[in-house]
Amino acid sequence: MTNNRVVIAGLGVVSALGNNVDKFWEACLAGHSAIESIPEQWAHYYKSKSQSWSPLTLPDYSVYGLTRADTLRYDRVVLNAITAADDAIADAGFEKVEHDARARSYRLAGVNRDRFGVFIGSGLGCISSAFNNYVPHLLGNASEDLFGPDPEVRSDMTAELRTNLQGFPRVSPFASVQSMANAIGGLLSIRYGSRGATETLIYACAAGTAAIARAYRAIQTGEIDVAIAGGSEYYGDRAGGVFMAFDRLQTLVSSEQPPERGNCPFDEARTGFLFSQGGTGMVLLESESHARKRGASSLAAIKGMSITSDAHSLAAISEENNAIELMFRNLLRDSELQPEDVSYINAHGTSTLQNDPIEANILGRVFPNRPYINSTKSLLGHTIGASGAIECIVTILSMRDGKIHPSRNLENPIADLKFATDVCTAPIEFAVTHSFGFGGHNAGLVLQNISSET
Amino acid sequence: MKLNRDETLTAVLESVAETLSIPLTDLTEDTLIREDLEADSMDVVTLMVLLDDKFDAEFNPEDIPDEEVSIRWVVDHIIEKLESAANGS
Repeated sequence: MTNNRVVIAGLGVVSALGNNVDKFWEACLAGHSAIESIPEQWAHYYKSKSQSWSPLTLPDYSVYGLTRADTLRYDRVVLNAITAADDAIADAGFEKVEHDARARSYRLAGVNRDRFGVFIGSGLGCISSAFNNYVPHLLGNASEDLFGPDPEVRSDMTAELRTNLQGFPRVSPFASVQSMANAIGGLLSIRYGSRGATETLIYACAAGTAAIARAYRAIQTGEIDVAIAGGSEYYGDRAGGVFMAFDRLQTLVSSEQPPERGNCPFDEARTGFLFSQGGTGMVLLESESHARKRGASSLAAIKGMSITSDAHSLAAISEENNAIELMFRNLLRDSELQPEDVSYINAHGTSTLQNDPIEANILGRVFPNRPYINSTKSLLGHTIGASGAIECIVTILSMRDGKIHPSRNLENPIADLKFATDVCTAPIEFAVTHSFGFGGHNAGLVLQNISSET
Repeated sequence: MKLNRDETLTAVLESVAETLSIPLTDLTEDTLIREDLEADSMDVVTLMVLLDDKFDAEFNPEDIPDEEVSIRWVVDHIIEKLESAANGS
């Protein structure tokens, strides 16, 4: 069987801590938090237990050649994926050759498009578009049924509807394609002309990690040479509907703590995760031989992957019923490594009451060598389907620079593990990044530092 | 409601140019959107969404004829639609 070595050649990120990799990484090392109070208007709809989130400043789409028409046709989760993928392609040193000006599609010079794939993870996909189209459908023609015959009342409701639907108070003719989660990968495939597999992995919070893992496997086994892989998530409903859904499930950070202390993975004081409006992480993967042929330098190699399923609960993990340890054991076996080879783990670390202790116990059991551990979610909050891809990028940058960002607000750790509470400087040869998702999904990657080889 | 025809024309020309990624200078009032510019059905829907956004009105795909839709026709259609909406008809 073909066993290609797979390298990561380029990175792209959209995050609450910056929309380019350098700014984002600088903010991580500084231990910055993206936490803010939720918008006041959300209280009109629902009195939430949590009062904090991390909002996203959207990229300037025009820099990427995207137009007003694109913003009306496609969900922001798609547009953010395009900007991050464009950045990852540029970072990898590929020349983008214009193919069709009208479609704004390109070809990557030197890439066989039949051996070029796209692997995208997301949690709720294009849910904002589904919300923003369903509400006018529900309230539009049925307004008399819902709000009675008084035209003034209906007029007020229509005005409120228009305000809350970001200036698009009608069902878009694009509603169906706008709301498809596979529009993210589909649009990337169209933009770059890739004709290998385009896969969309709906793995909740493990989606980004799983997408990179699947792309790695497709290149390793010789199915394709090059892949764009990562995760994208964005919640653009102005009424905070997705936030409310997580709040009602009692998973979000409590408002009882001061906001600056509220998000504290692996700390005794944790109460829940910090809801993030979204983010995107994209990596450009290729076989090592493909990278060598074009004379490109690489940032890291992927040494192994593992995906398992708890087969237990859609929303909870338990100490007894999980396949997390299995995922780690499989990951080490797939990577042909021993636990002591791993010197850094970018943990899932959500700050939830239930998950953190289970994760910490398993990490302590599987890795008795005490590698450094941190949680990027302590800074960004939880970007759901994007989190694994963004954390993969953090892990690569940590290996590149030999620096591990601090886990913010970790004052009273729940376990005796080697948590990074300040910037830690250490050479890292092998690192693990992993994610767990609603639905019982567990995914992990081992990354290898190859800077000494080039 | 009386719409300024020149402003409406400018908005339509800009929307067609943006939808089809072509220079404004390639367009006149007589340009046929499907025949001259090779716009497909998705392009026409995109154009309608852009016009919908610009004029804050709903334009339906079924209102657009299958053939010989000129930029002039689109401008006249917008003016007629908005004026009749303003008059409550």
